[in-house]
Amino acid sequence: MKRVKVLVVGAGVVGLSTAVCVAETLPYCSVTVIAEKFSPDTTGDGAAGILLPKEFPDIPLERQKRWFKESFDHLLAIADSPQASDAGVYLSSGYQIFKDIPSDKKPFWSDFVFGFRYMTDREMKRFPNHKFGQAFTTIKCECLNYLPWLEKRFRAVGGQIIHEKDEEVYPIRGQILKVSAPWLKNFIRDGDGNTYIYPGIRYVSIGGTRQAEDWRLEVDKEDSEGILERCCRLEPSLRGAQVMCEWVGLRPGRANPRVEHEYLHLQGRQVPLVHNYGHGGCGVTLSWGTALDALDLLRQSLFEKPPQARL
Amino acid sequence: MRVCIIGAGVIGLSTAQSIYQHFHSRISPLTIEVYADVFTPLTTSDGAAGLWQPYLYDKGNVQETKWNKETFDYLLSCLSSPDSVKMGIFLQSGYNLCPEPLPDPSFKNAVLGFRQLTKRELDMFPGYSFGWFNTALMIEGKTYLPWLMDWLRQRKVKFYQRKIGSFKELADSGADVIINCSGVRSGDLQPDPELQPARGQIIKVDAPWLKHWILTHDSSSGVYNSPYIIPGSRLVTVGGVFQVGNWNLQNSSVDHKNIWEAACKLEPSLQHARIVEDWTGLRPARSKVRLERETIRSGPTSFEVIHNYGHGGFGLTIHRGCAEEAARLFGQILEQKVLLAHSKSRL
Repeated sequence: MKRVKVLVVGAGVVGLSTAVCVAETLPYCSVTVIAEKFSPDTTGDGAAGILLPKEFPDIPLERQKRWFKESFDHLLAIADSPQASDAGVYLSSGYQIFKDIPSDKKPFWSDFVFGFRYMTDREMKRFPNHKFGQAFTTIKCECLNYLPWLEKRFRAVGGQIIHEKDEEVYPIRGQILKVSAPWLKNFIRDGDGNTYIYPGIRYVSIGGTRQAEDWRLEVDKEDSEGILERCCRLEPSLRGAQVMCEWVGLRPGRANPRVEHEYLHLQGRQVPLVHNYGHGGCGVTLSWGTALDALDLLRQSLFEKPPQARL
Repeated sequence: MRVCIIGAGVIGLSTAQSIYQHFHSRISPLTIEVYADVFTPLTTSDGAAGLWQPYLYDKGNVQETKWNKETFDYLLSCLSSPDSVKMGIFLQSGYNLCPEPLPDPSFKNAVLGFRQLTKRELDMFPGYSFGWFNTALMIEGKTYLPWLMDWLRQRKVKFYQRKIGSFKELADSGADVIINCSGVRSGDLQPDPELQPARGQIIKVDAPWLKHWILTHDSSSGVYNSPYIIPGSRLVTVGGVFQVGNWNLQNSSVDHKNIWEAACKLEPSLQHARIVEDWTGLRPARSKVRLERETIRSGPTSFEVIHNYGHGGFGLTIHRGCAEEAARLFGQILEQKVLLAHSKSRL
């Protein structure tokens, strides 16, 4: 079979995951990643990397379950292996707490994480302003380690990399602080998504903000104050923690991630184009599952007849 | 009233604290002195990983289960205080793994969120088919002991670096009550065939991606003779061995090799961890904790001793409950002395 050239646009966690899936699975493809930003400058690099999905409105639940389960299982195998520290992938336990009892107490992903249960009364005592909570063990995947690790894997099967500018989506600005608090081992997340504490390998990420259409990459001091105040209320021991730095990232916001294919008419040919973008704050969480989906779409488009070009 | 405490590990220091808390406003003057030949960071308490967890079963020692729970509740209440970081206290979740099903442990109601492990979780640990998950407390001796010493110093407790040769030595110098918190070397002060060293060796490694403690249990090898991995605030403690009767404080390369191999099998990511150092300590093992009063005759007079030693591998776990009990025994002694003073004056 003739060698198929595949171009992956974007070298963030979704792009590299997709590139690795294609390059490792389809030996007749030669894959090139083209991007403007690489680790440590991608959005994922600043993200805490906790695997925790949200439910998208327009994608069938079975497909969302598959995206999450495949990402979780893939990363679990790494966490369980000698590669874990190189890849920056490990287990993380903690709580998601709610000020008001949510309508959906047991979300779709509760079966895929470990030991999902409701918090006991004794556990809720620590959070007097919250009425309900969930406890579980999930995976944390730090892109600062994971992306270079994926890149090594990609190059090992002949993948190529080109540095060049790529596409844009609407931003959901997020600010976090990296603090030194090595005694913190469990994550705490407020179910409203705006306050969270995620202990990492060398620092704890505390956040956050969710500012749609906000392109500012500069740190906002008021945001920092708000984050510190809210997080210290949930975890008083943070009051003495040293702030190492602040970081801002722009989540690729979209109502639903776009994982689908189409054809571009280029230079007289129908070129398959597979989209895999718009994961919002769920990039790390869904990277592998959507990459596998994109791989399937790529296979489909390589073997089906493209629609006739309009003359 | 002059109280002399022998031993500056977690037991000695916390006993001094409890006595101060209960009696400093009731007796004046109350002089508390701590005598020890080693202080933090060289005590047995300093080397321990600091995980709050009793042995799986109390074998009928319900007192000990009560003291353990008291300690947990006390530490939990300290978590919300601004001092929690300075005390070295924090929460950590983790796994207790067994090769076969076991009855629920004594501490299931003391810890937070106790549950059985699911099959998917057990798949991560080949060789273990059963176990529990819960959130417990960590209390790091290297931080807690300096904090306790500061706390005591601020309240005028005095410290003396000296090896005490006998209880009589202190009694002769004018001590009203002696509290024996001398741990594994208590036999030097008063022979106790039930007290034996249970040597432990640990390896401290840099592996900050580990966020859960993992303890394995093997009924054939006994407590702590099975691998365990306990992340601390800076380094991870890997163990373990429990060698009864072994007084050797030197690190053993044979133990190191066995501990390391077993731990890497349990947690493959450890293979890439940087080993920082080994440490050896002697747990003061005893069939049960000796926490009781003793009146010792010395010629025409007698003096009071409160024994508080033999806490094995659970000193940090049980310290507060025992300190409070020791304070209660001290209160008994005070009452008797007052009664004595009254009866003497009624002549």
